[in-house]
Amino acid sequence: MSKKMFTLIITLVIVIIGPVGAILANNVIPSERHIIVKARQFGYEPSVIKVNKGDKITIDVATEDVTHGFYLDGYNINLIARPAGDPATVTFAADKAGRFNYRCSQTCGVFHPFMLGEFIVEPNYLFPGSIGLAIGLGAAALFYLARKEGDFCGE
Amino acid sequence: MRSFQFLLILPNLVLFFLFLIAGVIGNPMGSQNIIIVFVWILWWVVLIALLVPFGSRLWCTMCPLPIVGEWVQRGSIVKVRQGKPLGLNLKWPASLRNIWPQNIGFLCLALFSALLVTRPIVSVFVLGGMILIAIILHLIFEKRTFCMYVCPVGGFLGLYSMCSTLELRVKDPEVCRKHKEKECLRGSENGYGCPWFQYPGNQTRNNYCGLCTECVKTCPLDNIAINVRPFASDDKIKNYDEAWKAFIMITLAMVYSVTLLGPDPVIKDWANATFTGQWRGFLTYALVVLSSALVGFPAVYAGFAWLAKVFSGNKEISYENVFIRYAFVLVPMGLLAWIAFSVPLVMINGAYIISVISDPMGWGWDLLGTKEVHWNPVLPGWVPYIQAGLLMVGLWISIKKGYDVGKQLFKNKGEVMRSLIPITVLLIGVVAAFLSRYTN
Repeated sequence: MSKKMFTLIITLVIVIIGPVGAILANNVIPSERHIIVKARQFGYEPSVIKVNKGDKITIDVATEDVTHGFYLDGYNINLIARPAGDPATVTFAADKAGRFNYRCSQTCGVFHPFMLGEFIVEPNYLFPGSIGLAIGLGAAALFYLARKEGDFCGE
Repeated sequence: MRSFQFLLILPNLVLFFLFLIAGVIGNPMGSQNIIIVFVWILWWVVLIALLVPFGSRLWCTMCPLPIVGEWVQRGSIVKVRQGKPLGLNLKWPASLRNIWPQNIGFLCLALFSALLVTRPIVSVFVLGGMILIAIILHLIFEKRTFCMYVCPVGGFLGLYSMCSTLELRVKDPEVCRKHKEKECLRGSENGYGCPWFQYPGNQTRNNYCGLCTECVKTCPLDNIAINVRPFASDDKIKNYDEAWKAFIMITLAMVYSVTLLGPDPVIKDWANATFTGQWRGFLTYALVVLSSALVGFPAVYAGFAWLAKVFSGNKEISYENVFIRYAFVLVPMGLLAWIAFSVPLVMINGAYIISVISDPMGWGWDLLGTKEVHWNPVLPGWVPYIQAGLLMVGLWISIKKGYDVGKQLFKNKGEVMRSLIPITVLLIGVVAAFLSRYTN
């Protein structure tokens, strides 16, 4: 095996080991969750929702001031909560793991574009996977550079 | 062609004044006013993701902010007017000939970014104020003192233009050395001497070249070239002011990611104090931002730079040299972090651009029939993956550039590689911090 091929294989192994090592399955029994979200200018309470993949989720969104929206990235859910009305409700299965934002879809004031919350469906592989990838990439870069030839006299 | 720059600036200037008018008399809701949507979504994303990485300081070539001041100073718009410029033509104080004023200015503006990017009238005051300051400074000081030493945008454009794939350089430095007239410095009937106080003959970095192309026009030997080059080719941070610019910028990318893109309503309330009235919270926010950018992150970096020197085993090299030079790794890393921060601006909030084109004032007009285009994020589920990918690209490039810096600092490969270990750990830590915000 040539030196270049050896370097390439080791580099690939390091890059792959990180994320694969981080992606460990966690078996959780799906459950039903009822979450009440209160919207106000310019945030949600709770601002972070954590559920498990497979959970059946019911979300009620009520507003404490003006009309607000609740758009959930990745799930194509869009609710509108009006001040005088009942809470807007949706029930769905959290069938996609990962981190998603929910954000206001109704112009509600000056800071509206930045009114958002986080919906995390565990297991969220992206975070540990990307951390592992970063560590692997760092190690791979050092390994690659250490084996790089011709940068110094006498190598 | 003498009118080249004028033709680039003119449409920007016209649009800019229309934006200012919209900011004053249009809808006070930022997402429905063209000044906010076009400046802080469209312009910002084009600037940080395209113009800077691929065009160096091309924005400075076409920037409308200082141009009125420059016209007044020159007493001419396009043609070269010989003789003494209008105004006092003073030299900028020697103690301020660095980018510290820009560092502080940008940091102060950043404290109010939650207002700046959401309130049209605040944008009018800041951007309009910069035009006025530019005019005043052009009348007091020589050439483009405003752009070179004061403009808060110019500071980070200069730093990140080190990464750009475009550069202006002389074709043959020897030709410049032998040519005594130096029209590029003194000016000629074809153009002005470099307004940015640069001598192209020894220019080896993009930082302070505003790509105004005056040297292209004045050089009688056709010795100026605009070259395409690999990403992040300039790798020499020269002073503490530039190093701190790198610290400030990467800290602010994180601050904005938490304040604007994060879920915590308390931090948003603090940053948005004119709406919430939480001035004590704003004070806390300001202190945290200032101390993180000026002391906290630099202190962390200082620790890793010290480890880099210790690990290298080289006792001859000064710590100061290691500290300043290795700070360059934060330049490509910072640029990619800012691009990652900007991804949701265009993919989530980009839809506002389409509707505001038809209703720039937010008065209910429908000029192009796009007013009712509903806010609809583009592939929002992909955003964290794209952000993570950009951070990985930044990490890889930064480590490789760290190696290049190390080669210039140390005598042998062993010293370089050993010193690079703590720098790599620092970079992974920076990436992990951003990943925790974007993907966790």
